[in-house]
Amino acid sequence: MRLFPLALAGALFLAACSSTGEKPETELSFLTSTIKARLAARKQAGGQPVNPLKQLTRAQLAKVRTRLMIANLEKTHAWAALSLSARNRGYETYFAVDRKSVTLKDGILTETRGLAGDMMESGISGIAAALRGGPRTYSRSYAWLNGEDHLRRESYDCKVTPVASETIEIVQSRYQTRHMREICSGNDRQFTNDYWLSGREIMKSRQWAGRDIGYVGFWLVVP
Amino acid sequence: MIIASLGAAGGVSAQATQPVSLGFYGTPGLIDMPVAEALPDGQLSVTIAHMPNITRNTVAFQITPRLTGSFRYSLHGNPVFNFDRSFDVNYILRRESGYLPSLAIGLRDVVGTGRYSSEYLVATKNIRGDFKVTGGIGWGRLGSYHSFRNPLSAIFGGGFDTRPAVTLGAGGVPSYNRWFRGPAALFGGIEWQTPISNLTFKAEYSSDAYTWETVTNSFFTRRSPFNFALSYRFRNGATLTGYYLYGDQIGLSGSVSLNPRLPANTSSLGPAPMPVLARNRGPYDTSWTSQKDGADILRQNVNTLLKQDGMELEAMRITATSTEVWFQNKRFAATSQAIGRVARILTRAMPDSVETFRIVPVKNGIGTVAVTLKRSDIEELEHDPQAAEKIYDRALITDAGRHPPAWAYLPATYPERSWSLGPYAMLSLFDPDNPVRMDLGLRLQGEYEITPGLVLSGSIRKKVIGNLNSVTRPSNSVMRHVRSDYGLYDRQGDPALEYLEAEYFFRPGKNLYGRVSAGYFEKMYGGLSTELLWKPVNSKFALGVELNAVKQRAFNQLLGFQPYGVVTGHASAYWDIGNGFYGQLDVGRYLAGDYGATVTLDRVFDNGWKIGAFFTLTNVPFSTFGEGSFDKGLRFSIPLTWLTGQPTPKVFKTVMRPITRDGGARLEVRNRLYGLLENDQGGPLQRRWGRFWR
Repeated sequence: MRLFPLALAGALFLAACSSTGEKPETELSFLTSTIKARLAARKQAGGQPVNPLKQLTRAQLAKVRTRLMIANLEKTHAWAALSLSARNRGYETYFAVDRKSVTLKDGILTETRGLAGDMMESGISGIAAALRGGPRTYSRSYAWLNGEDHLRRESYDCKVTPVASETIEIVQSRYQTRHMREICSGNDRQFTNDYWLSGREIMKSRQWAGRDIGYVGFWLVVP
Repeated sequence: MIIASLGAAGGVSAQATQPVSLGFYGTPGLIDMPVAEALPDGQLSVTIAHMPNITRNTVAFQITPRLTGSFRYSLHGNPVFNFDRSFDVNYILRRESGYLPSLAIGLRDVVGTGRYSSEYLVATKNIRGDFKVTGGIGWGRLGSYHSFRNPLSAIFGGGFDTRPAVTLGAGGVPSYNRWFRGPAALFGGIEWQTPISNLTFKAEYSSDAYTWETVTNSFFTRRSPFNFALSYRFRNGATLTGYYLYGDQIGLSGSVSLNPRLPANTSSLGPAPMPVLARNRGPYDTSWTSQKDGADILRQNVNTLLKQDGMELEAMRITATSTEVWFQNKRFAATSQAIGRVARILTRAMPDSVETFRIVPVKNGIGTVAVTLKRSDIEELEHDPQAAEKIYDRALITDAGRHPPAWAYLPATYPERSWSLGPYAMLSLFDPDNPVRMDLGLRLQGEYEITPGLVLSGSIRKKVIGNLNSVTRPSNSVMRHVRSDYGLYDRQGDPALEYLEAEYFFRPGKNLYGRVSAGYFEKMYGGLSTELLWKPVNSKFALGVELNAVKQRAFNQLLGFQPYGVVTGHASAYWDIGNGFYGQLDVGRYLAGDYGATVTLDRVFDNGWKIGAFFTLTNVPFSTFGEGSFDKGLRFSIPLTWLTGQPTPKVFKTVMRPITRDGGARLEVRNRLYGLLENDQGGPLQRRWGRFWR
């Protein structure tokens, strides 16, 4: 995030040329806290982020009663623990402590909230069926908000292929998984999603969430 | 609901592989010569260009994909003795295709003193992707060097051979009697994208003789008609350009650009909303309705949840199967987002049997719209691949009606108090003695809402440092000084009571909204102001009337008045034209007792940006009005969330007038009704509906 526009905003709001009913003090403190937060975030990004998968132990997780995932935003190297918050018609919404959320259906990412460039909607019937043994080629859709608050919809042509049987370890638990790879192209872009399934459950995945968010890695830590 | 198609966000410019560059005039061009190109749709660029004795400060805006408009404030001389304001327009007639070039027509200094008055027809062609060639014919200033007889006089007659020097009116009037008249000349140039990335080289043959600058004055010597420039473009779109001009001078310019359609920061920050709580299947128990304090408890619970999302509950009506929620949105720039969050919260807070939600955002005690949703639809569509579109189709959007009875209100909602103390800055531009004047100081504001719609508010400011009071030149207006004594107000108003008023907002009937304000409204006037607005929730049109009886305030901006009083009023028509354009027509009586009309055209971007222009013509003759001939200006609204990405409803608004005089002056009143309602109804609500589930 650039500081120049914030500085401009600061200057503009001090210059209350013909504002009506503005409360400058609130704006100033709003801007200060935003700048502080951004500077802190920059500082944090420069430091070494902690990978919780390496820190946690199975014993610590024994007390956890709800479904728990660990997610990694590759672009920003940020890690978060997400716990299941709500279920609606098969869609599961997971929340992180800092009020960011993701929604997944059968382990496939459908929405994010609280990230810059949130994935607003998506159509996943194709990939969901493919992972269950259905047709291996299909299309899938995404929607993001653009700068004018309109939903920008994109459609991709995708193909799923099995990669291998792999044994993976998530916090000292081992799972025999089928590694499936989804390759999608369209809109001058190509991306690859990877899924590791144990039975019908996706234990681990790496999924693309849009050009602003980039790839997100998921690990199902407490099923 | 707008689903943007792919690539719609990008501007459509003439098949260029390099971005369009700005010239010394701050508009798409080579150096002094124009090109047949446009900026990306919606782009706003500010350029400061300087050579010894000449500085041009230009704001250019791409109004539509083909139409570029700009406003320029130029300074001439050292020390500066001439301040010039000019407006330009440029229109792309055809875009480049195949072997044919793009073609444009333009007028410089369309409205102004005529210092830069010129017209042109120009063609530009991209060759090879890194090379552009431009050629054209110009009139006026652009037809002053190596000129020849106007070819148009062969078509339109000998009258086109001469260019009148007479300024129409008192300046400030479009000088249509000059357009495309007088001798013409040819110009041309090239633009080359050098192998060094982001570095461009330009060369031109200028048809501008610079007579006033080189013959009448001695700003420089015009040794050659050739100009050269080297321009560097930074990653954020800003540019820095060096020039070698007319074989005699070095020049420098810098520009910054932004596009309201592309926020400085990605627009989707802010915490995640609560997920919908899906119910189990019915039937649902309704015995909870017999619980005596049930409704009060529900109000408290909903209020607690709303507060976590930066909103507040005003009132709630509850039955076994429905609820109506009146709330204040203090966080979200898009009303649809606030409504979506309330809907989610209600799925968590309301007993299962409550199926219908009627959600009403409140501003100044008035419900701006009622959005009625079925809980089953919310549960069903939360994660749908077309969630936003579908929930809009199923929503019922209606007039909110009068506010609920007193018992439905959360206790202690009213009276509502708030105050703030903070810094302010005030800017004043274009005064010939000092083009940029500014004050910094402290402002104390307070608001006391006694009952829904009845508001007392005031604001007082005290200057700490600044030079706004340095205007010593008295107004030379021959009219009643209804606005032109701003210098006296700036000088004596310290501390200044900015406003102190009582306002009452009410609903006289369906689709009707009313306002009565009394007190001190603005820097120069106070009295009584009344307004009635007819605005159906789903209509593109609205009509209003306003009637005010005001007296001019004392120069010291405290509680006193001057003897001058006036009754003013307007009938207004508002029109959502489409494609983001809004028009407004106000007809009536202005502060000086003159009668006339104001026409305003705004380009509104759905993220809250507004860029508009207005002018007012009244029965005051141009000569009586004085310099500028009639009132005109530009207005901007910039949403703060666009700059920072964080959710906030705050909008920075400003009006820029080239000159402030006494004709066509309208009373400034806070909280005019259309502004309260416009974003929550009709087209604006629908076009920003993509935010509902965010």
